[in-house]
Amino acid sequence: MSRNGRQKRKVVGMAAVSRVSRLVDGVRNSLWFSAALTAVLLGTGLWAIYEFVPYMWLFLFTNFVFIYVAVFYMLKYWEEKPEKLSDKFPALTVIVSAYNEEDKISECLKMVKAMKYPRPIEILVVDDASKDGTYAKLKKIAGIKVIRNAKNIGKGASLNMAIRRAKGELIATVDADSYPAPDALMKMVPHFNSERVGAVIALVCANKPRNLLERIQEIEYFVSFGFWHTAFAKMDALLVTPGPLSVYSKKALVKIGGFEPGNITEDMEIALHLQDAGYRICCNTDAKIYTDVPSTVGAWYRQRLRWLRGKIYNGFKYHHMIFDSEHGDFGRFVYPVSFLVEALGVVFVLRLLLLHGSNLFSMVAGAVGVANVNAAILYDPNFYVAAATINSSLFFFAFAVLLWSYVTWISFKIARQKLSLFHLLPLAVYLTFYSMFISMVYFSSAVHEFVGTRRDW
Amino acid sequence: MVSTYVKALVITAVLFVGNFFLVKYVDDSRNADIAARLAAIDEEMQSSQVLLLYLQSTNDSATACLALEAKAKEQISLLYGLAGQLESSEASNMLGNISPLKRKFILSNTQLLLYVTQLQAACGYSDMVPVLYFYPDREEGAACMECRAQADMLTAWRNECKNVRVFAFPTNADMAVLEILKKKYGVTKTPAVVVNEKLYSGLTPLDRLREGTACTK
Repeated sequence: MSRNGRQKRKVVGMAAVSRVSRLVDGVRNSLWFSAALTAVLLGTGLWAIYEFVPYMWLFLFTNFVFIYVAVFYMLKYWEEKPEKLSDKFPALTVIVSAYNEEDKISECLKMVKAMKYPRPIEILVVDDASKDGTYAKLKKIAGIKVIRNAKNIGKGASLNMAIRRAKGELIATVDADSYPAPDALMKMVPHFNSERVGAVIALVCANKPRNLLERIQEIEYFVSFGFWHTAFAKMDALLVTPGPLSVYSKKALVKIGGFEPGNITEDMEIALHLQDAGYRICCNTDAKIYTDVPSTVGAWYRQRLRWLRGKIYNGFKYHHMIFDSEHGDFGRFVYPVSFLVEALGVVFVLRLLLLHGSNLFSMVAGAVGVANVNAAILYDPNFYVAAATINSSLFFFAFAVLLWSYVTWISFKIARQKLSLFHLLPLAVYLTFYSMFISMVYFSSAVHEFVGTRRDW
Repeated sequence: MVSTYVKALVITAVLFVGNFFLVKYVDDSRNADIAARLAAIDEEMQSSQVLLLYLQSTNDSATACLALEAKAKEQISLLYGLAGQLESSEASNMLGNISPLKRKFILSNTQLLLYVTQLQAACGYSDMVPVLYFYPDREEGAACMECRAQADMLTAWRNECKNVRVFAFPTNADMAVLEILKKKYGVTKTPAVVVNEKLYSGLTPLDRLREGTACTK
């Protein structure tokens, strides 16, 4: 065969491989494939859990772990750890990365500009090739420097670009849908008391929660960013520098190479990267940032899917820190336990759903049978009352709920918020069913990562 | 100085064990009540059996038969009442052991059933209609709507007709005597009811069960 012929065959072969590869990619990213594989994995997982996991032992073990984790972090929370604060306020740059935020950017920047700081703040806003009127709005706002990307490059890459141009020694990143409290920087910056401090985080609060879902998230944010972060910070073991507002040492950012472009949870990746490089991350819950939270179940699900997929992805990337005592309490306990708790939650919730699901199925099928013989029985309330039994395991459940209620109460105190009657319903949902939904999203995230579907922002 | 890890472990263990014993106490108290009732029925049955032996030995049926039959009916009622309590206790139990109670319950039921047969033979005539009700227990039982409906029907029948007496048998217990009864009547699925030695499988309307059976109000 001539050389030309061989080359032609090679090109045709490569084109065929590329076509097949595109086809495989297309199938892998299709909704149907994802749904089918999720169903298969869910089915297999459920079967395995039903067959091999005895409910009682799983229940007791899960309870023990959850109680231990709550008690451990409570003890850490109460631990006195005085921190020497710096009285220096170095030059600071605020970076806001925006994509299609025309409705929110003005308010965000208004709050950013209202932040108190003893010296002038440089404000850099990156418009990541927005398709709406974000750029037009930015052009009208005075006192900011705008960088406009020709094409959408993602949040991580946009932040890196702005960091390179920033003049400040400290970099504060603010999400375009978030609104910092005026004194946030004044409370955060003094924590940069040594070269070892890589970042300082604030208390993220839900912005003006209205409906039930938003109110549940308000409580969730108090607990996660208030209680957990306070306890984690006492162990130098923070897992995330939240996107809404975090202040970084520019030196540290430059040293670790900035944010990972394309990472869907770049705020978690950068925190893990800082931990890995030996930097401290501090937390000040008196510094508040208010962020818009998803108001619909669909938006909430997409956000959580992204967060949890990001956690799994970052978990693989930084797996070397898990059980690594060189990273102190972070490697020994906080990071591995964060995965254990979530994995246990998934297994437990699936087992619970199986137990009650199969019972419910039998009951519905049985009710049809009863209706065929004498439907009147089904309308008699006594028929159900007589059969209702309160399982003793509810004592364990009630105890766990009591413990978590206490954690929630502490979280409200941290956030300096008063519990009111409006909180009762969201609190009840948060303490009972909400974590179950989170576990299911976690399972779904694991499936998405396993299938390898595209990680969308 | 004790580390936070150990402190948390000790506190968790104390809380957990405390919780564990609280649940065990609740479960055991519930079971103790059933055990006490079963013991009382057993004691009564023993005294009835002595009287039956006396009757069989002396043929003094005129005085003893009516009294013995009334007593037997009362004991069967008490035992049937315990079936529901046993079922709900099993469904709600987490740490208490219900198996010995269930075995005792099945044995008492069988003993009472045999006693009634002997009584009927000794006294020559009895209007009592023994009804055998087989139902699943454990998780299956809790979800069996048909069994619940069948039990409700049988309770209504028993309350309406003083001569109808129901013996309840949970089928999942692994006991030789239960296997013999199931085999004898050909019970393969639940709920199942045996009236006048005839088996009715699956949820059966009361009208069908009552066919050919007298009712003493």
